[in-house]
Amino acid sequence: MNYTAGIDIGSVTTKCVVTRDSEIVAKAIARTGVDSEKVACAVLAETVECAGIRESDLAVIVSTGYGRRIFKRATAVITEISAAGNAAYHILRDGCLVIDVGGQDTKIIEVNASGDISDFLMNDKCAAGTGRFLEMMAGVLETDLEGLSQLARESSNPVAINATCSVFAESEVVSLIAHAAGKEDIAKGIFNAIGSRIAGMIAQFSARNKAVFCGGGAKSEALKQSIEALSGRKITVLPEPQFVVAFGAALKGASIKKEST
Amino acid sequence: MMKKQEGIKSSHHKIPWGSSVKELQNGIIDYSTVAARYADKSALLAMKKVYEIAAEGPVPSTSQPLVGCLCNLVPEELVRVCGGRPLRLCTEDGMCAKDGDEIIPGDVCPLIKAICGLARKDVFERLDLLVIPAACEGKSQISEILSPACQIYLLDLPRSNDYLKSANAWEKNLAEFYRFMRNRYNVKPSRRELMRECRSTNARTKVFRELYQVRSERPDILNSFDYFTLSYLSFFHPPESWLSLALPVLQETFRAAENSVFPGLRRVLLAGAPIIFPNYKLLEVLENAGCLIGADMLCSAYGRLYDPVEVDEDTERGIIRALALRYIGGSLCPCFVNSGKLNDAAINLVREYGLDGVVYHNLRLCQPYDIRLTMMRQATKKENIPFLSIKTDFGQEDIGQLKTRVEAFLEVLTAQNK
Repeated sequence: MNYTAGIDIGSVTTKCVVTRDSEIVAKAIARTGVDSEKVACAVLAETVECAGIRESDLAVIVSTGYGRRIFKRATAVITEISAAGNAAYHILRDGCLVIDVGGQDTKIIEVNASGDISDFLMNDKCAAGTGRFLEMMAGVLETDLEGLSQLARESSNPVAINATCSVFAESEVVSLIAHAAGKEDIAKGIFNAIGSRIAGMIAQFSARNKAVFCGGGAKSEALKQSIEALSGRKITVLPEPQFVVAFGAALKGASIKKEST
Repeated sequence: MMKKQEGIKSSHHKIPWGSSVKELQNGIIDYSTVAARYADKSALLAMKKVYEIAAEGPVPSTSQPLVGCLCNLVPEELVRVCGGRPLRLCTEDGMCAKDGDEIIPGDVCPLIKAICGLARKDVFERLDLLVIPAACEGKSQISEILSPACQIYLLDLPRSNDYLKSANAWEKNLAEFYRFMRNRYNVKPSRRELMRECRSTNARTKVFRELYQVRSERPDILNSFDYFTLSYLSFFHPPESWLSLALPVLQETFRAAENSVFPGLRRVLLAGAPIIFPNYKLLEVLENAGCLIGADMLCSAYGRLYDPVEVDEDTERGIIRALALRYIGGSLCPCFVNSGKLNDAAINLVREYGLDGVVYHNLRLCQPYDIRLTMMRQATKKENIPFLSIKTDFGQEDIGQLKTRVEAFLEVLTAQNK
């Protein structure tokens, strides 16, 4: 049996995928929390159990994400950038531009026609434009990411959020609430603020490739719409967007196995 | 343009917001610990001495009048020939930047803040003169802030689209600076003495070029910490004493290179904002990941030491012209070079030394380098040269993110080379 596992230890959540012959057979997710290695072990155990196999059945375990180095049981380590590129290429079988909005980082990854990463961009040391930003703003509006997306759908006249710093954007949102702007319009304004930052990053790449969207942020239809409107690009959300990076790591495991046999 | 201000050096005229040095002693970076750490990493015995001197800090004890200079745009030959000891005071000491934050608390480039922070170490009080070239806005603006601490000479360096017009203006302003220096120190150096200073710079150039060449092939032996520390010492040491340190390093590097094989790691060009001792965070992330710096084009190393002074006509005017062309005309500072030339320089260095890509140090809040970034990214992309920009400052909290970027960049390089 050709089982491999990919584990993506992100700043907010840890995701794990078990694949057989490059198909996902099981997946699990948990908050990363403070003890990321313990959580990673638990998530791996859960995924393995869900797949109905034992950990010893796994040929390779590939770790990725912000905490990739802390996971001692990993047999190989790759960055989340390669992992996302790997998975996107496996799904599309063609060159593409991957937009990955994670908890702490937003990345734009250019994959060429042979599946290699030719270039990438990441946000600088600042939470603006990341999933964390959306979570914070959702908190201010007393909802979660899904609730925020739903609110944005009802917006008819989105407000402009000018602050690019998360902390200041928060005070801006608070003052908008005080000035009785509708929650819906604020929500849409929040997605537009992050969408325009991401659109600015996308603009640095050639428009030739198909744009695909993954990471926790891709679960939000409202964010996708904002990025599409502001970048003028059609964007396709990859299946199981939050697990794309873990899947890419597992796929990498399959190729490592192939090389060694 | 000369800015005449009262030369104030007595202690009661300190910069008003500076608290006493004693208060801060706990906060001051201990250079000797930092230097010892890098000395341990070095493969070369001759580097031990270099790090010992780096640990002593930026102000030497000498009877010569100390002439502080910023950037790499003040021809130090003109200072030396008048009997002054030039000290390039650009620093990336994180504690100095923190101190400087109290002097200029805005969203200002940390290098500018760190220079201001030197006030807390009483550096400016010990200077006889501080020469500030009007390069970026930050450098120009701090001249007024620092003026209570020491006499400032603001060296105006105008720019126009017309290179010839700019070069004429630089020559004229350097001649005026030279007149000022001769009057201040009451000396009348001969043309021959000025030529001798140029030759001593060129002797340093020759050795530096050999180091640059050997490093481009063997960045594992003369690692980037050694390289930038050697260059850093030229900030405070005249060419002769610098040579006495660099020559043994060069000899040992050659010997070591002959007796070992390069481990086949990736070699990149380091471009963008300067890297200055002790701020080696980016160097450490790169080297630890196995991404070695095969060449650089920073004003703290290559830009400072690579070019000779080429005198066509050995009259005083001809020498000053040559200095203007060497220091300002030849500068790769985004304040003075257009993007076409800057990008070509990067591409040529990558091609010449067969490097794998470009890493661009984008010092947070340094606007000139931030503005030029996109243009260099596009130019290198057109040439299929992998390019990574890293925006960071002197803080340590983003090391995790930097590692991810560098490791991903290495994965890109590996994919391209398979």
